[in-house]
Amino acid sequence: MEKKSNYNRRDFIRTSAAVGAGLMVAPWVKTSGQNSVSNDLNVALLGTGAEGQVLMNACLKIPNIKFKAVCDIWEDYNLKRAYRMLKKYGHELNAYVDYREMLAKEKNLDAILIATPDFWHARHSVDSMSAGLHVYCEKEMSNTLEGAKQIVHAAKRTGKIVQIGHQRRSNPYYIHSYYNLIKEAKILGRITTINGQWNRSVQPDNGWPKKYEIPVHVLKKYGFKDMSQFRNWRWYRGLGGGPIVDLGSHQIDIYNWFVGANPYSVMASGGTDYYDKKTHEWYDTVLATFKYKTDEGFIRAFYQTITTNSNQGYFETFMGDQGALTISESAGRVGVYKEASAPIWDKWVDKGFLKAPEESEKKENTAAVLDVRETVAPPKYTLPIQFNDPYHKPHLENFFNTIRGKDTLNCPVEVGYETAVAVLKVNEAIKAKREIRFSPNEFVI
Amino acid sequence: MFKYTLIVLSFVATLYFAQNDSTVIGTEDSVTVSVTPEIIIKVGDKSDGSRIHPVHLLKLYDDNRITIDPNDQFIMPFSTKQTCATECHDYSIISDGFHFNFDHSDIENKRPSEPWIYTDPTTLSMIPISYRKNEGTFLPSEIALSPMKFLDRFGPYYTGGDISEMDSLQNPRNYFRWSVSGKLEVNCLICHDADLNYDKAEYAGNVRKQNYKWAASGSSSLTEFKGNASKMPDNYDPYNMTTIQSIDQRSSVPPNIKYDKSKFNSSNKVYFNITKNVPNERCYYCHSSIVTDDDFAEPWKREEDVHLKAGLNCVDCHKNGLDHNITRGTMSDENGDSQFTCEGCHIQQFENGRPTNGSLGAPIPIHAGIPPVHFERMTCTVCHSGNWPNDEANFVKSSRNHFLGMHGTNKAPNVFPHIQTTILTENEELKLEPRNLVWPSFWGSINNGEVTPLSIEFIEDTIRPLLSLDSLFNFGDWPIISDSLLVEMLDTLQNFESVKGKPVFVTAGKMVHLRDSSLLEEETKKGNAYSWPIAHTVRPASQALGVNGCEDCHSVNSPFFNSEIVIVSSLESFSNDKLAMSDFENRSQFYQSLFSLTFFFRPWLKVLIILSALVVLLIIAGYVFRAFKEISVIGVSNNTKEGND
Repeated sequence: MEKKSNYNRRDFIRTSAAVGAGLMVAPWVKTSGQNSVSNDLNVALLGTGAEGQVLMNACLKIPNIKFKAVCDIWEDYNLKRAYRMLKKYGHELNAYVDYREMLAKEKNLDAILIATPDFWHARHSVDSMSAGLHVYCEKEMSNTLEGAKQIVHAAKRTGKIVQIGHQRRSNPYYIHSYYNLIKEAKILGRITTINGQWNRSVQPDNGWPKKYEIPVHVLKKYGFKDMSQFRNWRWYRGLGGGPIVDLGSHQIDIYNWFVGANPYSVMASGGTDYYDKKTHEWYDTVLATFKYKTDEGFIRAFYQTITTNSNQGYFETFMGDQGALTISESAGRVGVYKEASAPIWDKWVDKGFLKAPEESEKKENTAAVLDVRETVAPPKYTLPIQFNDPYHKPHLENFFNTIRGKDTLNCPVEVGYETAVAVLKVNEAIKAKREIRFSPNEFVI
Repeated sequence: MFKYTLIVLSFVATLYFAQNDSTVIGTEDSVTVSVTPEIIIKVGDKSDGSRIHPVHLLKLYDDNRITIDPNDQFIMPFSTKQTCATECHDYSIISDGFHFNFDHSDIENKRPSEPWIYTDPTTLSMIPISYRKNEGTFLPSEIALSPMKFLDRFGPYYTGGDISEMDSLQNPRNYFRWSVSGKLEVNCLICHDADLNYDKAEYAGNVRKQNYKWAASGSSSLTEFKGNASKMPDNYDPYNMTTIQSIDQRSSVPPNIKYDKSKFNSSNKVYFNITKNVPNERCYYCHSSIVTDDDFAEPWKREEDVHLKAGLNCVDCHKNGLDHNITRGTMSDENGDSQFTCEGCHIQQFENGRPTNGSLGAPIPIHAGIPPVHFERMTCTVCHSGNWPNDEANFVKSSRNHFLGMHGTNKAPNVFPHIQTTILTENEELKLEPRNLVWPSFWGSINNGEVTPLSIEFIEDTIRPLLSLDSLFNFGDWPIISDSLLVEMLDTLQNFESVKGKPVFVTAGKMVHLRDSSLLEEETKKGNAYSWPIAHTVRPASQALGVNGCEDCHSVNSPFFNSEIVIVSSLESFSNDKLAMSDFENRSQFYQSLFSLTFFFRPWLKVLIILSALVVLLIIAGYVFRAFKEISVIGVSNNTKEGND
């Protein structure tokens, strides 16, 4: 909703209620907001597949970002699609198949967005930093710890800014929940347990239009056996890390952040139980339990990712002795629930930290009280935040504003590395079939 | 003679343009030579004279011109453009036809037609819009309605092509959505697929879900389709499951088409039951209308158009050639071909002794006793079409504005928008004709005396929450706000940057704005009721106006002149306003009432004339009798005299 240039609320009181939601966007979201030429950043996009297009779309909604180059080995499909789209939006850019050629020819770039398969991240990031570019690298920062270390070292060596793509760290829901609800209000009390998941339906393998197949020699040059492996690299050892890395990485990163610690140990069960093992080398089902050691005591955190049923989708729930917070990128799943014994939350509602449950919801619940066999669902408090932008936009804005010297990174390379250590260990734990304890030194380079 | 003149002029024009078919574009350094391509007549575009209809056994192609193989893992929808047009029909000519050329600036629209009515009771908006520049309607661009937003709202009755295929028209904000939805090509099947399983409602539903690329093929009996592209993320790629990993696929189903393999032969060809004689049912999907009178809910009581009952189809009158420029129903010679007017069939005419009219075995009307002035001042449809005038105008629902025929349509009689019928209106040729009518209602601003509507985005995002009328249903009485609320609204709106000029609310044919915190109303053409002629349902002579005599129209309280037309307004102080039918007819209600009185005395006049004639006859008879008497007296007198002698 458009903001008024000069408007007296007393003149028309009803407006405030209607407009309120729109103006309550979290104040912690930092936007570039400046519209001067000096704020322009020249950007390249390396990897124009599904994730690359997500980043591109988000960037198109950010002022002063100029795409100057795009690069992808799938010239006839992904590269063409991204190039045409950016041209439509008025960007003057070049398209490349070979990233080295792009880095050599494009001399006016400020930053690069890397959205290639995991096993390329280290090389692409290191070479980009060496070429003088700041890097936004999609998670997982590498499929190996060795690769992740190379990125951290290159960042230290070159002094370039590197943001890892755990975009929830810049999401207003998460920022509000962490700083206001958990840290300031301590609304959950002592957090004892965490539960999270990302469940997906059964899906066929990715395909491709036969007309646009990449020649085999080109695929092999870039590390892929064939077109099918190129399209489904996430399932292959040596290329990706499977669903626990693709999906779990985002949420386990939040566990670490909200708890304020790296995990103490992990045990996990998993396997390729449903899909063809020949083409799905990584586990299609993973159930993992982390243990965190904090000043208040141990926290146990369960996480599952399955690929055969989408029940409940994806979320994280933090449970404390005074309340529970369910949070997700998707606004519909966000809710805060008070334990009956906890002090009333009215002051947090008054302070604008929470929105009180709807009256209609309270009435619905009263009917169920009569049936003692059924546990009555607690009233659902919600967050007073409206966030309708693409999920990745705030994280990209945080990256660009850090380059401009107006902000600090929400997920710098060291944080991304810690998460990589925690997540990659899950696959190790499955193979080991036992609880694996982390050494604190593992998280430090 | 006129026809021959046209031929000669066309020949001269062809010669002229043939000499100028090369155009040089660019500077001396960069010269591009554009040569008019040779016109290739495709196999399906020229008849060899046979009246048989060719069998359409075809390969299906997707929009990348890749042959559809039903056994492929990832299957794309077939493209009508590639399947129908690549080899057999000229897509560019067809897509220039009347059903598809909405936004073509060179279209000369000679008469008003039914608008698309943007209706939103929560913002008090009822805005007639049209791409055809009909006076009294607004161009979609005037209310910043992008093609995608237009399709979101009206797409179920959009036949494809034009605005949905032209990149230049598309709002940059929607590029990603277009890449997900694909283009909505001309849907040939919606008219020409004679398969009874072709599902028009499915097509409409698919358009509503932004399944543009899948809409035509997904409603064909060759396929089974599920999915909702509008729920897919901006980077959706049907070949890449990663793009949908964040959505709940139980409620947001990705577009997924399957073909009935049994319908493909060994050469991967399928049989299309294509017809050029488009069945009436296909026309009805977009062109139905229903008057919400007492018999609204009783379809079996409704009369059918007399032409259809006589065995004609819609396309017998509304014909077209390859160019798909459908002949519209007209009284006059709009398309230069009088054959397809009312007179074309019903009035007998000759040229050099040969009949030129009187087609299709139509009855020739006698119109005995009707003074010629009626034919000079009224169209045929006044008496033979539309609803019989009532004391108050009825509401009418139409396909495109009330979503008739779709799944889940609100069947209430008073669903918005409120379109009134039958309004007898004086047209551009100063003839009366029956029309439907809608009262525009919108928020705008006035600058240098010019009223401009505000953008839909501003209305939906800002005015809607300000008004707080969200709980209203989309049927019932049109919502009304108090004058004091309007004062508050207009006062508030003048603080918004998007409102360029003084904020106004247009309703009931007036624009209302603030002066010194009071409402001031002024006339504005932009607020005038918009009306468009109607021709169906056509009634035979036995049901035409006048069948009961002159009093059908010429009686003192006849609805023909005295019917009350409620002014549909959102403002309390205008809500009880009404007009008489004579106001739209541009006739004096007082004069017509007086004139009608003469019909009351006309029977008396006949009695008077008869009585007068009788009196005259009696007088004459009296004189005759007296004459005979005189003659007989003279005769008797003479005889007596002779006897005496």
